[in-house]
Amino acid sequence: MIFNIIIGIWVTAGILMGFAKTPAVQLVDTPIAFMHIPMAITMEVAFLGAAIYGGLWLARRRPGDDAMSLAFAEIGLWFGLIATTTGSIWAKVNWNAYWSWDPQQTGIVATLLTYAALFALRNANDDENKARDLWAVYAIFGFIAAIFWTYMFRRLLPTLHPENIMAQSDDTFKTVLRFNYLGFILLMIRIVQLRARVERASLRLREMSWM
Amino acid sequence: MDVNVLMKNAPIVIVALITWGGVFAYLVRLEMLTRNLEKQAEIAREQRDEEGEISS
Repeated sequence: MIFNIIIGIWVTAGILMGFAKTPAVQLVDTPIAFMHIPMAITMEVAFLGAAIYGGLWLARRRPGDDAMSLAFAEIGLWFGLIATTTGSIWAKVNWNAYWSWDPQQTGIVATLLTYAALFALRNANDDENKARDLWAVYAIFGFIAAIFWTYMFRRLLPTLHPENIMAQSDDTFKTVLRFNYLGFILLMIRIVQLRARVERASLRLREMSWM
Repeated sequence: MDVNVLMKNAPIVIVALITWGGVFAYLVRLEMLTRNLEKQAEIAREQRDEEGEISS
């Protein structure tokens, strides 16, 4: 519970600092970027976590690793949805349209659709161990796809998204943004831990009901 | 950081804080659900062990 309180104070402070900050270079007139960018980064970290725990399941065969991988991917998907929503609000203010099929916007939608498809594939398999094996491979593939869609795709095509925001911004902007990165990553890790514990407890209860 | 900027953004700050409050409430509820499920699993395990001892 103490960890929850720390996260609560941290994220609240991050939101207030973000809304109290004057607009930075290339970020015109909206502080929502202080939520949108950390959410998108947190999504990537979550998908990396899903891939790492997927690899650990393949190496160690511990159901807890599979539960962590699944939880990371689930929560990453939710953070991605919030990043997309807050991003389109930001786009309305800066580009006069909620959606412009910018490579970055297209890329994040492709990432989210990829993970939605991977979840559907996992749930289509009735054999639990086979589903876990396949999921581990999906999680690794999903992370590679996410890196392509969100980092490489926007560099292949012309984009409306601002480039090198961090390098061109003042120190306060960088500090607040990094403060929010850490806050949202801590929040994501906490939710993932709890989600994985729910999965493990449910698994234990299911196993005992079969005996 | 500028308090005037914060005040100018007051309506959206309130919406953001209410939304965050909802997420935080979910976090607390998830923690309670987790503890409850873990407790149930522990009780079920103890009952199974007791039944095993009786039958042996």
